[in-house]
Amino acid sequence: MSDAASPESSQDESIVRVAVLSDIHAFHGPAKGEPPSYADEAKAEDQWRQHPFPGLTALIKTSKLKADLLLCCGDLADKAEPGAMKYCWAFLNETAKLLGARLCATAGNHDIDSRYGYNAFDARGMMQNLTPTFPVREGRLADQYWARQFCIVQSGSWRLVLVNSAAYHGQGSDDAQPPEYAHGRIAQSTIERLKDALTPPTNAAVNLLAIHHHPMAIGGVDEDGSYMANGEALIDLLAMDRQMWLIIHGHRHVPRLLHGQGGNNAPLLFGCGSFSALLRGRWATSAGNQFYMLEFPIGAASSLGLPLVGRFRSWDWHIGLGWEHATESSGLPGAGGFGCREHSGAVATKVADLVRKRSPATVSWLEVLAKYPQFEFLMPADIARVRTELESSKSIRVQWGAGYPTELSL
Amino acid sequence: MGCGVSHGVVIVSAAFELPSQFETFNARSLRPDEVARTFVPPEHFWTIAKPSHTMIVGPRGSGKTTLLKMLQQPALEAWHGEDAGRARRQIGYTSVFIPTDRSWQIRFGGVGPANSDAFPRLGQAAFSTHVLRALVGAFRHRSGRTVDLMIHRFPHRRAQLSGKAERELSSTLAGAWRLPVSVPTLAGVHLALTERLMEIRMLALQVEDRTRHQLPATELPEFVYLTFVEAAVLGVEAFETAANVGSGKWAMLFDELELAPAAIRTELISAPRSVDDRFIFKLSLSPFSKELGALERPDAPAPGHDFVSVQLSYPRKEDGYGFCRALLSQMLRARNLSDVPAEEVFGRSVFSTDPVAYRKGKSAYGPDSAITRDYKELSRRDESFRVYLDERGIDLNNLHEGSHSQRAAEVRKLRALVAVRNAFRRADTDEHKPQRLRSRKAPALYAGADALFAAVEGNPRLFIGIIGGIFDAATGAGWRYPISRPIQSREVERASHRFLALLRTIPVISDEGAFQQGRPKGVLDVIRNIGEAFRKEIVSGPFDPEPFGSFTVDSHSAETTVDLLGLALNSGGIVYVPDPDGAEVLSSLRGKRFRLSYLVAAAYGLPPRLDKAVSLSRLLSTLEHSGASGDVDVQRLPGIN
Repeated sequence: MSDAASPESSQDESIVRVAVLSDIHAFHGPAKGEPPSYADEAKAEDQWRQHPFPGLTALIKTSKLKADLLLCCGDLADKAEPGAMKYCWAFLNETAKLLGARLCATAGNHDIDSRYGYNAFDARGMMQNLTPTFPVREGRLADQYWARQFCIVQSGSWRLVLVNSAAYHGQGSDDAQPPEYAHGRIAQSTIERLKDALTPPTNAAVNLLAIHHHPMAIGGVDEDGSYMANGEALIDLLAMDRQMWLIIHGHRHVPRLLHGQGGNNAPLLFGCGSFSALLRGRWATSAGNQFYMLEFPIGAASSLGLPLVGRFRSWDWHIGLGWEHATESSGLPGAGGFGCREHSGAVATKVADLVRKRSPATVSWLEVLAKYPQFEFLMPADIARVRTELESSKSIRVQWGAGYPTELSL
Repeated sequence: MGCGVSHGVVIVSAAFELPSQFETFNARSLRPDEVARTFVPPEHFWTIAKPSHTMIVGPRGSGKTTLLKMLQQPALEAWHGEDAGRARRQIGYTSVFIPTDRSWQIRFGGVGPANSDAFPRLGQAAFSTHVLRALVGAFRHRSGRTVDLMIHRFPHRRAQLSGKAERELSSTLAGAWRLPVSVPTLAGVHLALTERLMEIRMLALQVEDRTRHQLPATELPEFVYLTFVEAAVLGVEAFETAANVGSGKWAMLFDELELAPAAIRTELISAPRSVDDRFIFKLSLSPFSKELGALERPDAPAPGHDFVSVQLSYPRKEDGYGFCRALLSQMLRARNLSDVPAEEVFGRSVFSTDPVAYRKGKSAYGPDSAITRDYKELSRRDESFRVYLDERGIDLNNLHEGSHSQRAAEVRKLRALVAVRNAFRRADTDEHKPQRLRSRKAPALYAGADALFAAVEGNPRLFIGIIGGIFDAATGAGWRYPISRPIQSREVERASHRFLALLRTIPVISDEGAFQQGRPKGVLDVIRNIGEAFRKEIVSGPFDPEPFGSFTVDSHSAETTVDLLGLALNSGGIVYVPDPDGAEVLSSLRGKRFRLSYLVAAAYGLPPRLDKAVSLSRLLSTLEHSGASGDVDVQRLPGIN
């Protein structure tokens, strides 16, 4: 089930770098009405500030981004348009080459021709016939993905499980309500097979699972019930594993980072915003089109005694400007961390004590991290609670940067 | 008038009749022969005149009504000139002009639930009656029954209809259309249809009364259930038989469909696919309506296949220049002036990038040339421009060297930016003293042929208004060529102010309880925000040789703002810049690119050129972050504040 050998290895063994994007919704314009995304195949790509594809290429080149893995969580094309799917897959392959990364992906609901718009009998045929092979270039693993609804890719210190949460789209009973294509699913049989595959011990320090649909409903977001059926079983499975997992998903177009349900080994959930879809509804003004770089410093996790820590950087797409560092109002901020679960109240107490012991009572965040390095891996929501706690209960003034404090003082 | 609530603000829908300046030039109130008297055909006209289904899209004042009226027989017969003969040869169908009428939208005006069937049925009946009345009008024109106020010199598609044939025809129509006709003539049928409109109105009031008093609904008369297509087919067949003219094509010209009820608009938009092929449909409407989603269905008529789509706005200003030149010629002749090129009448504009404009006896880039002077002035006042020149290795004392090279093209391209920055930007060395006025007068920047043609956006009503005003002022000041630049610029500024003042009158009713600070209150507010943001980008900010000058409505733009932009689009305040083969009628603005109209741009000291796009939300956020444009000499700006 897994591929333990890989010709490509991380350039820096102590940090695993993963570039992430999801929900591109490429199409061939011009659109009759509202376009589904900014990724229009028909638009000229010589203007990198006007099209997210060359915009990303420019970002990678100017920022000299490198990664071990480029991960796409599905919905390459909008409504399974074949030409757009090929266009997007070609772009992802070129981008992986530019990053020096291995490309892995998973199918989304828009990638499966579940309404048979282009084919009368084979909803998955287009994806299965992509070149290079989808979702990974190794044919054996790709076959396993389509046959078993998952496959495992491993290289050096990282391990990635790709799950097909759209496995049953285009199938299912005509009488099913809601129809199968309206939500994701992981069958119990898949859960059992995955459990068997994960049982043997592994030397992977970074364990990732990528799916398109989110595995659990999130209040205030999931009004349409399109999350994964039986997703709780997947979370439970990973929570019981010896390793700490990070689940990366797309589908909702709402960027977020949170803990899954369960005990303290419950997986983390990294919900990607959409790379280039035109956002609608109430999320349109509070979520951005985003691209991410995740870093997993293995040495730091080990020295901190934490099972999995990571940093992320986010970029927002702006027409006319290109990819720019994200702001807090676009979903996930420009930079942040995850993996440290220390309670925000305890964090605030430690930080406040540090400030009070200084004379003058001013401390930079870097000085706080020097004393408490684990705080670098607090989640954005936790950092925000720390700030509130410091300002309201500890009388500490917080100067704020792009998602984290910069200076603290009395 | 339709309304929708968005975030506590009631937005008036596109069904509201948008105001337009230069209303006296509105063709709506003119007879076809009056329209023909001064008609100058733009290139669009020949496309519209073809015997194919057509959708004519343009903002208020862009000439849609004029173009449709000119397809009618009375107009074609009254039209003189070399183009008129061509038109009469090309147009082999009979046109029936139907303007949208308010009576098509009959609503329950009381409190409580309405009788849901009767009102839309009565509205539909009013619509059908208007169509049939216009059809009978066309019968009368063809058969020479109308009272002419002038002698038609060029008969076009006339038909002979004897008195006996007319009586028989009238009886046939009366029977089929359930009309009580007292005088069996086409005039009698026309009158009966007018009486029917009155009857429909009375019925609506009766139904409203009965509904209000919760009385049982009365049965509606049979004629309410007539469908206009079938009734028109019968009418046409009866006329052609009576006049013995053989089967022909009939063009139904529906004007101002943005004012029509959604159901009727949808029915007409779908008509090309579903209606008897003796009818040609030509529809005029504004560029945007949320209800135009009918055009996006897979089974909807498709532009280029089922109908021809004609855009009356010009995203690229040069596309409108040909028409402007033709209209100018006509205006000069009307004043008994020699028909000379526009550049002779108005001079050249500083915004022109035409290489011809820069050829002079001596080099146009020499040390004493206007270009060099402009560049030198800006380099003295604007440090960011000096830095740019240094980085590009541009020596202002030697601009003329390599004047035919790429450098010359670059210099020409920047001239517009240099001009507006010189005109409206405070020098970097000036202390910011709000009370201190510039010693120079406001610059006459928006003058010259290019600038004027750009400002009018190919809009005949605007053109006639502005150029007419320039000619009147020039006559008063003593006529000479080129006409004084301050005179030209003043007329553009006046028109710009009038236009912005009109935008202010578009009603948007705000719920003060829900209204949040910073949200645009009306169309003018959102236009102002965009204008000021571009002003910062192009005029007061650091020099950028390729600034943003257009915007794309992205996901993050607030719904209220987008609704207001829809009104701005339909009134001509912004112009849609479609992709090649892009949609020409919009049901949504998101993902689409727009620019300010050049008349509005003039109010903010912006050059009339199509610069690259930026997302709207990002553009407007620059206003929040950087505050007032302190580097702009607002005393010199012509803008409305």
